[in-house]
Amino acid sequence: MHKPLRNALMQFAASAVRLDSVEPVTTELVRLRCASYHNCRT
Amino acid sequence: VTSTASTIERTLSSAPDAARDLADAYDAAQAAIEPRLFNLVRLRVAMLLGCDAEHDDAELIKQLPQWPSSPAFTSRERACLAFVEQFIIDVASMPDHLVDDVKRELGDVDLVDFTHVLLVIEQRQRLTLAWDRILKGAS
Repeated sequence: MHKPLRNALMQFAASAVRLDSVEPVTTELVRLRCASYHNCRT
Repeated sequence: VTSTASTIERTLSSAPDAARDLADAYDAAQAAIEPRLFNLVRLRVAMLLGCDAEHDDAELIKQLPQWPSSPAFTSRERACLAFVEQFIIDVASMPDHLVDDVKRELGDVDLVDFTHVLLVIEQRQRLTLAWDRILKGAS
């Protein structure tokens, strides 16, 4: 596996989650709605 | 048309960590697969999403809709482009045969890398579209 790519992707995901301009409840609603739409059960 | 890079730079100016990490992910994605395949994927995603900011190769854009039958594309590129289209349209319904085709052409390890590359390209273009079209004037 191309480690730099995997690490960079995880790093970006982490920094996106750390953004705090949207409050936690709305963030969670969006996350759950997206998961439901894409049938993502993880 | 504003470029993807400048839209991201402008919009993420208040979130430098996220901007840097996205740029790093994009650089790593470019390094992970050969340049022509990267370009084919980037342009096909842009065509499917309507991301005009990425439309920078007129010749490939003209050829790409004919990928299933055109001799300009190898079987490896065809397998990858079929995977790309299903990934963008509905990843949850990805059929096994499209995954198997890419696995056969690239190998198990490169299938994982290819999926990561596709994920980075898609995220970057969707962010650009959202910022350019939906949030225009709101930021």
